[in-house]
Amino acid sequence: MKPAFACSLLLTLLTSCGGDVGPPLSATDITVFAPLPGRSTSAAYMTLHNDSDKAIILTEVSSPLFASVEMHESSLTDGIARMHKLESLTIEAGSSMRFAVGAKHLMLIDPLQDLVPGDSISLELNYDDGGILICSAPLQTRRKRGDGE
Amino acid sequence: MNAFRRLLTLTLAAAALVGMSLYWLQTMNGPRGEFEKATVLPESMPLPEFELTGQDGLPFSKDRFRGKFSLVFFGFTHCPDICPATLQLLALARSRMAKSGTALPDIVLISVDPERDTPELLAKYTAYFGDGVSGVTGDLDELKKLASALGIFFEKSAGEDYNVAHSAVVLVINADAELQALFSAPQDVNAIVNDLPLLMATG
Repeated sequence: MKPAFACSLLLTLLTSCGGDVGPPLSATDITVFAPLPGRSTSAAYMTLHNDSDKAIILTEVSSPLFASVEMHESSLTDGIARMHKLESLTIEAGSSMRFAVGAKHLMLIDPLQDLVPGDSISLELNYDDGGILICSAPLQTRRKRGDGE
Repeated sequence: MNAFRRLLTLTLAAAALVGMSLYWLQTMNGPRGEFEKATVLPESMPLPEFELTGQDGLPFSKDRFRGKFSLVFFGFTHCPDICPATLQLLALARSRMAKSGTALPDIVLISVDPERDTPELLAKYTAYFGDGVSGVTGDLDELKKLASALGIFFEKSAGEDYNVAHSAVVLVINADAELQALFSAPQDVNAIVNDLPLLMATG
């Protein structure tokens, strides 16, 4: 049992953000995909948690390794996939917001250097009152999980 | 007591018979038959004639679909979310089918963004998803013709950094180049792995 526990703890440490003092905004389950061959954009997913008693408005996301990062939302209505850019994103007090395929996601645009799977990708999430959440996760390939899903 | 014992034996025998029949019926129907998610057309629809370009740069017409089943998805390489996730899911379904030894489908991405999706870019992009995945692009009018014949909608947004809204359905084209069935979005790997061999058996 011990190695399994150690692994899950390590994974939690690797993929979560936030300081020790209980920040209002934290992120878990961060997945950052590497751009596909021939492409200069990619997507990142995470779950954001607002542990405060007021709504948090995410206004801007950036990464030192990408020219820009945009908040996007895909939707599937009547079988049609659409995507639009979000100027801001509100996470209600005491609630979590999960980014997912076919829903909200971060679009990472134009890597500033060559990236390889395993590289640590840092993301900076700026929210309304000047707060900033810095988190990072290793770059993943989409194929990596293979048949194990 | 004797009469009671005989009645009990008969009841038990009858119950066993019913149980066995039910089991038999279930095993007959179970693995053989049920589609989990596929919507099967009452009658398969032949594809129209069209002239597009494969990622190898060669003409890609209806005939390229003949001789094997294909899972067809209309999308584009600049789509960071739904398109790669769908191709990944189809490639996963294919690799699972490979393990079970069934015939394998081709996976074909037909571009709804011919302006940016050149054959070279498609070749690079699809190689990433593994064996059996390839891309098709071509003249916008030809793409529209094929799409509308198959009930596929797509629409480019305004601006330089445009997006393309598009149907997210996965089409099953059979070995006679006919539209036989479809998987509505969001697709499910297990359902494709279950349903496609059934479609191949009937198509």
